[in-house]
Order: sequence, then structure tokens, then C-alpha cells
Amino acid sequence: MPINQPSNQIKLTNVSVVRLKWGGKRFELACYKNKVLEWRSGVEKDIDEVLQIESVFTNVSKGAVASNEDVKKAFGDKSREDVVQEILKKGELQVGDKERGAMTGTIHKDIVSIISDKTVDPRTRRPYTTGMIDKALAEIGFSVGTTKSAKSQALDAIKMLQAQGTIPIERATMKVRVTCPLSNLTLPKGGAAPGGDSKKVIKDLLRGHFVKVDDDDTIGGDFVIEGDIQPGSFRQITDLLSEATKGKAQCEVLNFSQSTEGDETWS
Amino acid sequence: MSALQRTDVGRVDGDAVVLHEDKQYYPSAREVYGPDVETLVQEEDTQALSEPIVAPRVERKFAIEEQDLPDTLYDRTFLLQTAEHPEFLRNVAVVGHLHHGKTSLLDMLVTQSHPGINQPRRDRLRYTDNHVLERARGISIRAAPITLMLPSSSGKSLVTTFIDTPGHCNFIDEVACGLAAADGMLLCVDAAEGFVPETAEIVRLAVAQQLDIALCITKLDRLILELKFPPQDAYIKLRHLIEEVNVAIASVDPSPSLRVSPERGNVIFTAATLGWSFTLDSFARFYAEQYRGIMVEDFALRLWGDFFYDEQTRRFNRSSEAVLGGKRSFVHFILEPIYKLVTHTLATEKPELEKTLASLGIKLKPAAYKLDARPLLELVSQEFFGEAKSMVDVIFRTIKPPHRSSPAKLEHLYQGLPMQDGLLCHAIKLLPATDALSFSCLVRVYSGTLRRGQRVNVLDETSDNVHIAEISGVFLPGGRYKAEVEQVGPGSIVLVDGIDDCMTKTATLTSSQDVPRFAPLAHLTSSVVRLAVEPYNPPELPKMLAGLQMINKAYPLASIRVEESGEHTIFGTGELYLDCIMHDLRKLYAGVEVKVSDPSVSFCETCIETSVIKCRAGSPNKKNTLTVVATQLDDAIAKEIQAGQLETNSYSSFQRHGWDVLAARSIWAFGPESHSPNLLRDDTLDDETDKGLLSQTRESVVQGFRWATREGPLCDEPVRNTQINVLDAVLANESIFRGAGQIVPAMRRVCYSGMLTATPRLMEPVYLVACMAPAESVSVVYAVLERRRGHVTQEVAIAGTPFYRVVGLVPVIDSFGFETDLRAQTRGKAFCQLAFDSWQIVPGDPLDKSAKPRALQQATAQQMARDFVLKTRRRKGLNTEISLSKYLDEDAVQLLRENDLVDPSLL
Repeated sequence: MPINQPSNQIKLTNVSVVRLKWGGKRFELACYKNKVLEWRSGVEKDIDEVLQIESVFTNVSKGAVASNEDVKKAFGDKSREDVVQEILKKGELQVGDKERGAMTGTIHKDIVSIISDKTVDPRTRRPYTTGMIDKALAEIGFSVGTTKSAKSQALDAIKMLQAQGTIPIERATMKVRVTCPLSNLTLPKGGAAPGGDSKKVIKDLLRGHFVKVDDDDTIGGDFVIEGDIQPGSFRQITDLLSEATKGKAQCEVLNFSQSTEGDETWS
Repeated sequence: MSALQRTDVGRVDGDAVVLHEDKQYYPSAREVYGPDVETLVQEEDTQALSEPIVAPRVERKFAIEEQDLPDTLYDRTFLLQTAEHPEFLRNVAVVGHLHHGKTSLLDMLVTQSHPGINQPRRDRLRYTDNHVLERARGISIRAAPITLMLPSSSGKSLVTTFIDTPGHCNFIDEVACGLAAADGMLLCVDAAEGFVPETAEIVRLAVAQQLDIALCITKLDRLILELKFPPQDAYIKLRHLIEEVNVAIASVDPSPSLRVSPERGNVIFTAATLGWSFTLDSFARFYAEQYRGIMVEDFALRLWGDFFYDEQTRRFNRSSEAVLGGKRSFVHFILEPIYKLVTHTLATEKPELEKTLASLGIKLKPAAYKLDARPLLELVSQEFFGEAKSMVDVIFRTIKPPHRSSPAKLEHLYQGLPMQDGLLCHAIKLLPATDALSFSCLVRVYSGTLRRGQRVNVLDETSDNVHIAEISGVFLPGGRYKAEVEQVGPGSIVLVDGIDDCMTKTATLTSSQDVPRFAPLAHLTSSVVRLAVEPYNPPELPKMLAGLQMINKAYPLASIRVEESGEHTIFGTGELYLDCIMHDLRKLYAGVEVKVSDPSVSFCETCIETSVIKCRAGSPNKKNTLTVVATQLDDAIAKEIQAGQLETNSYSSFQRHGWDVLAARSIWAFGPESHSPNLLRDDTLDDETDKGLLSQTRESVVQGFRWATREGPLCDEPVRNTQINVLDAVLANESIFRGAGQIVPAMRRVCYSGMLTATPRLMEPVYLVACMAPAESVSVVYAVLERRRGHVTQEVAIAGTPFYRVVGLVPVIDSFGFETDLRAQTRGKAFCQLAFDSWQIVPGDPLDKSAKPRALQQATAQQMARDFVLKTRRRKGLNTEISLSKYLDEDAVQLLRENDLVDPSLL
């Protein structure tokens, strides 16, 4: 029976436990806080920076090291390193308070900057600053989740902001140029009555998606239209085009997020 | 009636059974009040609890104002009648350094002409400083006009409009407004501190605009009571001061007619708080009243300079040796009597003092002798010096009346030939009303008559639009009051209501629409400090924007910019300036909470060498090619372009910089604005380039050059001190292929590659620091400056005082908090002023990729430029990599790479 003395006692502080149930047994690793997530995302590559102790435990807090037989039984003939790697990869991790805070913090920052990029103030057609978006989100009680991606949360947040009306906000329009050949058109289902002018129908369908048309012309059998669309319409346009022209038409994006260019000095 | 019937519970005609829920016990509101009355029944409060049921009245009062028109010693109708004669009208800007007694001087004139207004016991009156901030800070912030009618010594009455200007360097824009309105300036200089170099800039502008200059030496009592100079030394000190002013004037225009000197009658000596004001003439007249047979003018001439009075022979002598005692006449006849008056008043007891005063014809009430020393001295001084008639004499003689100075003023300010008849007024500045909801406009009438109710055309300085506005009121300014008048004629300066919606900074008021306008004011400094603002509550953005519009109007040099990122930024001259703007924005104009960024500065870009290769770029359709090199523009030329002294098409002005005729004639443009310090030169040769084609596309080439210089390659900031030489142009023959859409972007790209290959550098604004400090604190000034990348350029002792004047330079970006720092380090003994001086190259290479500034650490000298460029690019949402290959042709990139001419990481 080992005598528990201060000299042979290893105290683990600042420990974060990765736990994996495998083959009916529980295995644990003693890691440094914050480092496991970094390891998983590939930021941290040095395993010594992640693990506090290289051995596999059955219970970290009690200091019970897993016996070799147990490990062998569960993982087969894998080397110790591979076992550790596997536990690190598959094990469940109790995310600490600060870690979670940091995670939501970065997601929140991402959401705010995505919203700022994607939206404009309809009165001035200029983006809002991140500070103002941040404050407006706080006001409508938007809470950040860690499961969904920042982009989809940002799109939800834009809808919420628009619904609440704290600040007038609008999706920034995209600038696109559509080149559509006017021969061999197949009209989409339920598009127009048969016998109607399919060229005219497709033109009108396309025009319907545009918020602002800068250029609208037929050059050498191709219908070319350039202008601003709502970002949501982009998918519909490409679908329509691929269906109607079997992929011969082009839709070029000239600018993803259209806002007033340049600085303006008041006089 | 129906109500009465209904009270009869639930009875209906007949015996019909009425269900309980259908029974009507009371009449409905509609039946009681009739069909056209809307009735609302609410079961819950719709008003928030935080909202008071009866809201308290909000008093918007941000300036002191008199309730009624105060009494004056003159009749206001007489004033208006006199003002119709321009020869009795004067417009004077009172200028000078901070705390050199400008406002106090006007206080003296106000108390002398308004019997009901007295100096308060403990504070100074400051009748022209009425804004809350001016009162709280104890300095003037706005140019404040005041019209007074003052008697001269010959008994004539003179209508004078004074414009009290601020002395603080940050508010030097208001001084420019004052000078634009006035015909002459009264330069106030503290007798003890002497002429300060910061004021020299104002003198330069005044001389350039041909304004008359009268010198007013203020706080003369400091020489006697504070510095305790013997009279001889006081004379030397005064002479030294006047010489300093003359040196400043002569550095602009050495003509002897501009000299200020007491014997020329354009210098006044004052001590406003004691009520002293005298000239040589006034003392000569004083003696002439006492002794018969004195020729006033001849005597006055002998009271200044090396005239020595021999008491034995009663003769004046030009040399001191011949005279016993060797006292100058100024000391003997003027300073010594004043010294005696002061010492006797302060030192002797009542019976003796009574006797002395009686000999001067001064009789005081017995109670006066019981007063403290200072009030007693004030009383005696007032009796002795009387009204400030000598000052009126000097203004009357020195400063031209408006009808004589207007032609010269129009030549400087007006962009064209003035009309012969009809109304022409210059609206110079907007002054906020007491409630800060509207503005009165400071207007100078040049021709015609300005009436209340008249409809005038308001032509703003920048926009081409013409607004028609009705003048809702014309007022004579009076500090804390304004006296309404029906109409005013040429030469008057008045406050006008009803036109503030049609203008921002300055405007032209005319009776006809098709006339040239007044040019925007020539300012002595530029707004280089930048502050980004945003509302604390996002929905309050419109309120903040409205507030910013008001700020734009209220501060002559404030400029508001909306950046591409959606940020709202305010540019101002300095810390105090922006502090005042933020106060006004939060309290007066917007009334919302505003978040501010850390202060920053605007940058400029330049290059310091010549491009290593000829830079070539093709147009989008690949049918045109332009070749240019960029090179540094000589600083002297850049300065002259900015001052408007160089024109694009004049050989003579470039000759003195060593340019030949061909070079001077080939200058196409300055850019981005017409007087910006960048130059575009056509260096193509006839046998290489089709000059005819090139001249056809000249417009587009210039446009591309202007675009490139407006937003430089490093971080989209304006370019300075750069010259672009067009070396070659291969252009498409068909005009459709060399339109603006092709040439402009090509020119812009080629300018960028030219600048990037010519050792580009970043420039930052630099402040001139002028400190006044006692000897023991001078070393602290050095230390504080050094910590902020600054250095001292000059250190001189101020004659006759224990103070030193230390002049230095400090980059604006490192100057934030400098003043507080300095005051803390010297325990308040050093005093400093910061004014924009010039642009200076930031140390380090902005393209140096090895310079990696660390987070939370100050960048070292080698990293500085890179650090600033990266931060600016990040803020503007630009890509942090500056790539040269984006702007160059393939073969040029190849050439650069093979010869290792630029850092390979750039390509």
C-alpha cells in the first residue's frame, strides 16, 4: 500500500478532464484547460501542451490510473499514443466557464461582423458599425448559441432585427450580371400559358428578381441584364436559368454586398 | 332625456322579455356625447411608469442673455443714424493670444457705455463670453460681435463693431471669421508676456488681407504691480514688445507704412481691469489742459523714443548725455506720474492722499478712502484716465472706414467682380441662439440695404444651389443682447435671423441669383484630429445625425465625414476643440448619449524618390497604355501651390524654382483639389507620342491623377508632395476605345504603381508646441516632449520676466494628453499651446513586411509607418496586403523581379 506523502503526491491544478466510455470502461485524460478545443481544431499541435500527464486514468480526480489490461481490452493492440489521441478525439469534454465564454464571445463577434457586412441602413445605404449592431442585438435580446454556425445565426439575427425595428436595417443587395441566351428555352413548370412568347416570359421572370436594373439589353441573341438583387433571389435566379437554358446562361456576381462607396464629407 | 329614461332599470316598452346581458342600465358614451366625439376606454396605463404624467418644463438655455435691452449712454436711434454715414463706422476684430486681455478690454468699453452694467465683485464680467462652455472654462470659444457707440476725444461719436475673438490656438478658425468681417484689427499683447509667436500667423493673415493694424498693449499694471519694474525698465520692455510686433509685420510686408509705434498714433496702452487707457496724444492733451502754451501734437511726438527732457533748461534733447539724470520723455511725462499715482494710492494715508489727488483735480467721497487697496486704485484710475476716448481716437485714425476698405476686402474674399448695385452681403459665421435650436448669422453688408422681411438669395459656399430665404430679423449685436433694427446699410456688421437653414459655413446673400460667390474662408490651420462617434442607443442615430449637422454649422473648421464603413467621424483642430464639440453635441444639439472612439489623426501619403522603373499600365480593353514615373515634389513648390501662389500655366512662377519653360508649360494639373500639393506634368516627346491624341484624353488623364491622389495606394489617404510625370501614352485611334472609362482607371493604376516604386512614405501631422515655463520647469518640458516623439527647437528667455519660452514640435497622434501631462509634471507652472504646424514623414517603411508591431506594445521607430498603415487599412476594411503586381503589367513585374528592385514580397 503506497503511503500518501507530500513528496510523492502530484497535485493537478487547472485540470480539464476528457472522458471516454469504451468497451464498458471509463477512461479519462488530464489536460490543460482551453487546450483540448485548440487541439481538436488543429491550432495546437504539440501534445505535451495539451496533456498534463501522459497516462490514461480511470478517474482523474482520484488519481486512479487505468491498468494496462483494461486499456488493452478496450482498445486492442493500439499504442499508448494512439489511445490518447483517440480519447482526445472522441471523448467528451466538460467545457469550462471561461472556455464557453470565450467561445460564445468569438461567435458573437463573428455574428456581429457578418451582420455588419451583409446589411445596410436603408436611409443612407451604408453599413452600420459593429458597435451599433452589437448594441441593437443586446436590445432585442439576441442570445448566441454554440451549436449553429455564426453565419446562420447572423441571418436569423438580421430577421429578428428587421422584425423588432429597433434600427432600420436591410440586407445589402448583390450586384449581378445575367447573360441568358434566348434560343431553345424551356419554360419552367407553371411559368406561362403554352403558346406565349417564351422569350418575353423569361425576361419578365428575370426582371422580377431585380431591385434595381442598371442595364437591360439584348446583344446578339443574348439577353443581358445587370443590376441589384436581394441576396435571397440569387438562388432562385440560378435555378431558373439552369432549368430554362440547361446551364447555358451565366449569372456573374459583380459585388456581393452593395453599399455606398467612398467617404462622404458633409458640407 | 334618453339618459333619464334609461335609468329606469331595464324597462322596455311592452312586456318583451329582455335577457340579462342585453339589459342596458346606462347610456353609452356615444349617446351622451354625440356621434362625432371619439371615446376611448382604456383599462390599463399606456404611458410607461418612467414617463411623468405632467412632464417638467425643459428649459433650453445655454447662454447668458439680458432680459431687456440695457440702458446705454447713447441713444440707439442716434447710433443707427450715425451708422448711415460710413465715415463714422468702424469694424474691428480684437485678436491676440490667450489671456492677453481681449475680452476684458471690451468689458471696459461696455461698462463705460452701459450705466447699468458693472464689473462683478469677484469675477470678471466677460460680457462677450456667454456660452455655457465659455463661462465654465473661462476662455472665449466663439467670435462674438458687439456694436458700441463711443465718443472720441474731439467729441465725435463713432459707431464701432468689435469682434471679440478667442485666443486659444484650437479656435483660430474663429479668428479667421473675425478677420473676414473686419476692416482692421486691434492686436492685444500682454505687457508682461510680450508678443507670442503663435500670434504671428494671425498677423500674417491680417497683413495679407490688407487689414489695418492697431496695437493695444494690455495689462500695463502687471509691469508695475507684479514685475515691479523701475520706470526706465518698463519703457525698455514696452519698446522691446513693440519691436517684436513690428518684426512679425515686416516679415510679411516690410513697408514702413505698416509699422506700429506710439508716435504714429496706432498704439494704445491699457490696463482694462483698472480702467487705464492712454496714448501719447491723450497725455499731451492732459498736460495742455494743465499748462498753457503746449502744442499738443508736437509735444506728443516727443513723448516716445530717444527724447530726453532736461528739467533745468526745459528742453528736449536727442541724447541722454546732455541731460542731467538722463530720463526719456516717456518715462518723465507718462510712466513716472502713473507710478506716483499708483504708489500714493496704495501707500499713503487718507489726508495725504486726499491732498495729492486734489492736486490732480480728483475728489473722492469720504467712504471711498475706506475701501481696500485694489478697489481704491480702480476708483482713482477711473477718475484720472476717464473714458477710453484715446482708444476711440486710435481706432478712428488707424482703421479705415468700411466704404474705403470694402473694395480691397472684396478683392480678397469675392470670386469675381462685385455688382454695381443691389444687395451683396457676406454671411460669415453662424452663432447659436440661446436655446441652441437655431442660429443667427454674422453678416457683413457690402452693398445695398438689408431689411427685415426682405427675401434674399442665399448662395452657400460649396453647393451650387440657390436658396431663397426671408430675413426674419436684423439685429445689432451687443454681447448679451441684440437690438432689433429695421434695416442696415453698407459696411454694417449685423446678426441676421432666418437664413440658417440655407447655409452651413459661409454664404453670399444677394438680390440677384447669377452672381459670383464669396470664397470659403482662408483658415490658418487645418482639422487633423479625428474622432469617430456613434449613438449609445442605436435607434437614436437620426438624432445624433441632426446634432452633427448643427455642429457642422456651429464650428467653422469642424468637418463631419461618413466613412465607407458607416462610421461617423468628426475632424477638428485639437483636443479642446473636439471636447467642446462633444459637449455641444451631447448637451445642446443632439441630447443623446454618444460613444466616442480614441482620438486619431488624418494621414497623408507621399514618395521620397523617383520610381525605379517606368511604370506602365494598360486600360481595361488593352488598347491604351500609359507610362509614368512618380517623384518627390519639392516642399517649397508644394507650399506655394497650397498658398495659391503658383498657377498651372505660368512659367514665371516656376522659374524661381529652377524649372525651364518646357517643364513649366507642361504642367497639367494640381490634385486632388485645385490647390493641393501634387503635380501632374506631361513629359511626353513629340516624336514618341501622338500629342494630339493625348491632349484629347487630357481630361481623363487628369481625372485619373486626381482620383489616385485623393485616395493613395498605401491606405486610401490623400497624397502630398508628389509629382507624376507622364512619359508615354499609346492610345487607341478610335475615340470610342479611349473614353474616360478606359483612361481613368488606367491612369489611376499607373499612378499607384509609380508611387509604390518610388519609396512611398506615410506622413503625419505635427503640432507646434509653444510653452511658457519658469526656468526650473524647462527641463521637464524637454522630458515630456521626448517621451512623445517630440523635440525642442527653440528656447528663449522672455525679457524682463522669470519665464522661458520653449518652442518644439510633437506629432499630433502622440500629443493627446500632452497638456495635462505637462501641467501635472510641472505642477501647473508650465503653460502650453498646440497648433498644427506641418506634415512630417513617419519613420519606417510602410511596405516593410518584416516590421511586425506587437499587440499592446508601442511600435518602435522602424515599425511605426507600417503599424499606422496596417491599422488604417484594417479600420477601413481594406486588405492588409499592399500588392504592387495588382497595378503593374506582367513584363514590368518580371523586370522588377529579375533586377531585384523592390521587395519581392510586394509583387
